Amino acid sequence: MARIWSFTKYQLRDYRTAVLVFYLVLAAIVALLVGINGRVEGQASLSGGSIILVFVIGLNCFKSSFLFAQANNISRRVFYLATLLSLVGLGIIMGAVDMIIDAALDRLPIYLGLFEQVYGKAPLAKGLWTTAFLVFAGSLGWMITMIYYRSSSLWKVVVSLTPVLVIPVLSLLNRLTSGKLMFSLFAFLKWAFGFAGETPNPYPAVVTFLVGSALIWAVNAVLLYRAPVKA
Amino acid sequence: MSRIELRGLSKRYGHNLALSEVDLALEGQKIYGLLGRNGAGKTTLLNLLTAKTHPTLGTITIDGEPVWENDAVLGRVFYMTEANLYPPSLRVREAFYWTVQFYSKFQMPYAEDLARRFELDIRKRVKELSTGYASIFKAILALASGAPILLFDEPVLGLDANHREMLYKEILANYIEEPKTVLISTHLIDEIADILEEVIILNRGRVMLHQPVEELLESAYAVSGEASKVDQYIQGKNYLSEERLQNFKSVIVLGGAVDRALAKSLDLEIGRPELQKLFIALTSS
Repeated sequence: MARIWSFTKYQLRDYRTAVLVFYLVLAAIVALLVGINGRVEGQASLSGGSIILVFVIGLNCFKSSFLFAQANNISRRVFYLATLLSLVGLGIIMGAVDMIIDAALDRLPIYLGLFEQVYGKAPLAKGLWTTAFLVFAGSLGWMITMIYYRSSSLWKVVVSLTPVLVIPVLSLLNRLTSGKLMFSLFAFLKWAFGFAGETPNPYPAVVTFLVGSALIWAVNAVLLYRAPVKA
Repeated sequence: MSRIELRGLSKRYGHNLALSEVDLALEGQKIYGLLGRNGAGKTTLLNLLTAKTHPTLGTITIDGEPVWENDAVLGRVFYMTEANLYPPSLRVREAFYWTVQFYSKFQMPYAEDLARRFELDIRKRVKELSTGYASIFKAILALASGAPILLFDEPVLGLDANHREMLYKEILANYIEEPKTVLISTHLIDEIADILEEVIILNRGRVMLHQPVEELLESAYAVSGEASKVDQYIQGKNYLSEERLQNFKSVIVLGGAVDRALAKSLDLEIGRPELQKLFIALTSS
């Protein structure tokens, strides 16, 4: 248990610089927003930035840390749990900070957070949604980097081409099913993200992000099993 | 006590069989030398001992407990790898700090003292260290870790003669101060021979020999002198190798009592073989 905590601390310390730089940049943007408030029309949101940052952190959370864990004879199980805890912790911390920033900026007519743009005002749901989304983004980044780590050169090409092939394959399948595939897919996404009813509901989206994260963690556990040390 | 036991251990990388049916028991609290030619399987063996890679077949236990995914066991072993596994941007002093988190018995004052004696600047980042200083950095972490089992893979890589001498002395002093199991894989056999108690020779993925160094050196002797006379002496004897320089010849004879009378009559010199020469003779024959 002590090793899990210690390595979670190490992972969080590893993310620290990127997060601090991000919020410094954000502070500069906030100052700009305050400065131009009332002078320009339209609305701005800062919420998307933290999601992209956590995704990038997820992309960078594996190789170097895994090798460091191996240098200290830390088992893959401990590394896995510590990385998972660190990404969940990061999601909670950044979710809380984002809530505070959004609450402060809420007074500016120019500002409207991402959550409010989609679901309207609901502070509790916003906190859960933001945290779940951040945890999902970090986990997704972690999975992508692990897939590349475990892949051979040939598989790396295959994995890289997969997103490019998704759209034509979906189009083809949609045509073969006379449009039923896309209809069902959109119906599922609407249901999964809380747009099935008359008013958008953020809680299904929270559950979707959490279930998605759990599925990714399961995949990551498989990817980490007997993962070799590639220095 | 830290008894390390390997049973029927094999490791295959694709078509290459790096280790084959290795059976080995290390009793602990000794300094072992792990010797072998390039590709003999030394690093693979060390990687298996620390769960860096999974065996194809066989078991590895330390004090009866399996090593794989066992943090209680892994935390008692510090492995100084030849490859650098530390983040390039990490500073040396930060590495010290983090090692304390994972090895609770890590001795920070000792690590700082070693850094000072080896002139390692602890403010430097890992990527700024030369090959030699990267070795010193990793060796300091190992020595100060407080782990009862220390594994070193090529610990003197890139070190100058002075630092090599210092490191050998420090390994010995560290061992005397607090006896532990030390396993050193190296190609610089003669330099380290004096501090080794037992030697394990790997050859083409198999354990060729596991013996106390003294016993091994006493099991053979070197005979040298005029080539024709040496040839006369070794007739009917089990000899391993021969070195010839014009009319001078030196041969390592394995086993059997020294025939001092014959050697004297042929004006030959009988001596103790060097561990490195014996190793070369054993692994090239």
